[in-house]
Amino acid sequence: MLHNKEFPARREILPQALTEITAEIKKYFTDDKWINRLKVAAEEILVNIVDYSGSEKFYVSCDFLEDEQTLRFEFVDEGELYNPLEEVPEVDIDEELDERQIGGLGIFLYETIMDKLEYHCDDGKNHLLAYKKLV
Amino acid sequence: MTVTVERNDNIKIIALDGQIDVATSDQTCADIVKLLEKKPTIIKMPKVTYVSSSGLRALLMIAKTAKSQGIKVTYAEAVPEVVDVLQMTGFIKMLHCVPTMADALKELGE
Repeated sequence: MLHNKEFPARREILPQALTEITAEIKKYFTDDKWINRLKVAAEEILVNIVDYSGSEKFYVSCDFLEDEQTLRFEFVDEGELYNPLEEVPEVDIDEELDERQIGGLGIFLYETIMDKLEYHCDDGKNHLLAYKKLV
Repeated sequence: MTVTVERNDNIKIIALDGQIDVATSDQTCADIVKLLEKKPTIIKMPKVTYVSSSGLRALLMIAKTAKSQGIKVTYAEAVPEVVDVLQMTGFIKMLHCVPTMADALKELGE
């Protein structure tokens, strides 16, 4: 079980964090497609924290909401206060290669994959919650 | 991530083995870009088990570099989980991803 587990906010730590998150996902999701999608979403959220928040560590919780049959992730960092859901860049998936921008894909991906995302700041920390109902 | 040249005559075939994620995407991109020559290229993906958004950025960089050098690149044999992410982002069409090596060779005129 992952409950507010602390990790140093460094790129080389991410594979270990993702292994632990994926183990939690696999307790509830059996479809490889959804296991993979949720891992992609978690990786993107963590990459943003590590690369841009300025936080020295991050915390991950993962719990299952029985009533809603929903897996809930919480990602917390102590970096600059920033709501990633405020400015979600538009991504046109039909754009041709020349027009495609390198950035902006990450938030698009986790917005597409997750059912619901919530941000709040508490005690000077960024909290991002991501929900996915069992499929 | 292992990057191997499987064939290099009139067509180059580059085979990938591993994950393209935050830990490997920069090196994978650099390795593939270094291997690009002025000839049609197939990037073989059946052993790529995971592509994250960092991986997608790497694939996009490779495609843009190849195009700027006039090199036609086709991606082939991606596994269903990878195809799913490529489809979600429109990359499947934009990068000319095809199901089989036969399709890729046909796409490149062989």
